Amino acid sequence: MAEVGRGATSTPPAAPPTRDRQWLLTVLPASPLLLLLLRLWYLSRQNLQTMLLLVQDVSPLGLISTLLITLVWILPLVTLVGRTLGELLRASAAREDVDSLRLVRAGLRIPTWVVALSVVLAALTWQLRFLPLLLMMTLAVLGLGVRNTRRNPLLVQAVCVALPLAAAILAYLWLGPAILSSVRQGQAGTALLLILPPALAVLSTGPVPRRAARPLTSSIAMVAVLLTPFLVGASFLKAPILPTIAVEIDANPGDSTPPEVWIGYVISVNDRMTTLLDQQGTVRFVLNDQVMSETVCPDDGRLPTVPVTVHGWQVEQPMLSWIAPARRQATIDPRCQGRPLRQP
Amino acid sequence: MSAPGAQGESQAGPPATTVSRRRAVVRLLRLGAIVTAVVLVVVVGVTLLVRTGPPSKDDLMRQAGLVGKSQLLVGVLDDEPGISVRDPQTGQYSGFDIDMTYLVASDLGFDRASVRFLPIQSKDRARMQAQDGDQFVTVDLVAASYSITADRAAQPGVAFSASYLSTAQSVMTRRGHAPVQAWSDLQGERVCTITTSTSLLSAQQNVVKVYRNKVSECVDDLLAGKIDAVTTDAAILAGFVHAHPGELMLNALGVDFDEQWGMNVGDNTALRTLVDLSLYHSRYDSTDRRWEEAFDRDLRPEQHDSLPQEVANDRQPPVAKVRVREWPWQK
Repeated sequence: MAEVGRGATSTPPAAPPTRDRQWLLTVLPASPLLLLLLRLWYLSRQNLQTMLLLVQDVSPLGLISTLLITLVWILPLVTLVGRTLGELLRASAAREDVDSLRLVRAGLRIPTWVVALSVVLAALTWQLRFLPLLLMMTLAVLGLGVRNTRRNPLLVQAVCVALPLAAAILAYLWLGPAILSSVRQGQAGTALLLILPPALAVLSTGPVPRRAARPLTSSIAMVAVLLTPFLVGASFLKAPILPTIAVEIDANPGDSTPPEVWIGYVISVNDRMTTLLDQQGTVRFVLNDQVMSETVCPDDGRLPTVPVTVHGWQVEQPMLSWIAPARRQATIDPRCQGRPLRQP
Repeated sequence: MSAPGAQGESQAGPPATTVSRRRAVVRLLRLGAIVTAVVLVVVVGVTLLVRTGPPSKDDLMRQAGLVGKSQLLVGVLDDEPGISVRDPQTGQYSGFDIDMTYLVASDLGFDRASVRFLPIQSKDRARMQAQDGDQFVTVDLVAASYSITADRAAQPGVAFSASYLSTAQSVMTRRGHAPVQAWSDLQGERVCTITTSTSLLSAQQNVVKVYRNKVSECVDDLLAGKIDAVTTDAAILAGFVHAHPGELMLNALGVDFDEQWGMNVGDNTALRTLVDLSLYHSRYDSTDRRWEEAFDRDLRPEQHDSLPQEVANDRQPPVAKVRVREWPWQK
């Protein structure tokens, strides 16, 4: 980074008291583990015995995969917010201000290739309605970076003024129909997410008043640090970690009584018993001979809530879901509605 | 000490004070932009966490109490040919109301074997009480040529779905009766309808009114010569005319097609949304031909015998947009 040796004056600021922060390195790998345990505790409806059963049987690899898939969008968010704040403070305030804010300074230490990778990851994993925000942050990082390191005024003008203007015009041309559609349908949140960021991007590529820079960046960093655990927790607790299965159970396979249909999660199957956990947290053990059939039920947790699309792309779908082929389930399996496959 | 960015900006030509004032304004604007963006993210983020949008179909199925339900109980009439009639030999029901019930039931995940029809009297349609052997049971749905009116909708326990058929009131007489074009043509004659009918008969002064519990009882009386005319919806009467083409005929009263039939779901508002969703897809999905096929099978063949009266509108009535979370390809 070019900050080393630049801006240093005759009176160096008093070195802040160094504190031992090595414990943070221990906490970091422990937090996903804590999150996974919290998820199992939530799934077991806060029953310790059920939770122990889950810990014993649920595959850790499956859990970590779910954690990664659910939270992959948060990593670029943290990187980009950190870097944007760092560049903003560096462009707006004095060196000692930058040095005094560890959290913001850490953002400047993120390697450029990590930032570039984050932008790509975010473009793939963020919902379409957040892509204008990604555009704004990317342009801000780029513009502020150029302003902070290059002195060529023509380049600064091109990256900080011409590029955001061109990007905003292109974005509005592409998003126009979706903006109109969301306004017409009264979807204020979606409309604002599509309208504001491209326009604000034009203003986000330069320094802010020097006196405001430090309080602004530190307060945003603080809010982000406080909100991120809640965001992570809320999105992970809602994510499914086991597939929802409908099982037809016939306690007396010989007679004519219809089988009972049970909906929940299959925890484990051994050569004699199938262990089931229903959606109310009740554990049930069933003899394998009594299990007539099983089916996976669709998960409607990710159904879109906003009926707005951009050229056929639903605004709540990330690019990955949009380009990947989706299975379109047309008929409802009666077992997922609690009815046996065949009526007597 | 100045920021590096400031050095980049200070190379322009205008006087220094103008430049610095302009720069200060731009910086303030930038501050406003960043604060706006942060507020937007926080407000929208919180809103997204709190608001989950309209319910999904699965949510509605759970709210409607349909998950785990082995049979859908539907109250239907059993004496109206073409609309809803029970074959005494096989016990099977057939007709337009039956096909509409199958249409809705299949969208709710109930196959034909899981739909149980129970005969319901016209007077019990609001209370949703149908007869099951020697017992009366409360059904989940009533599809019994039930016209949507403000008075009926205001009754406790009545909630109508969107309309699935549009028809008009008509008068049926024996063949040979002088054509009836207005109520005055029936002056002094005995005219029958069902007790709970929305018929315009009740407003007429110069006719002898006869009330029965079932339309088929009126028709029996008409065929026996005990009465002179039967009045109710054309779609109901057309089935009887089609069954007795040489004996009965329909007369066009020249009134509007203002009889809109709906299903009664009682207090179950989630079920009403599901029924409306099913009717909405049937109305606006061009690949969904179930309504059209039902009309062609049950009502269109009756049209020839029913002239000059039109049996019913051959297009499904419009259905208001239903707010349900669905995948874009399900819409």
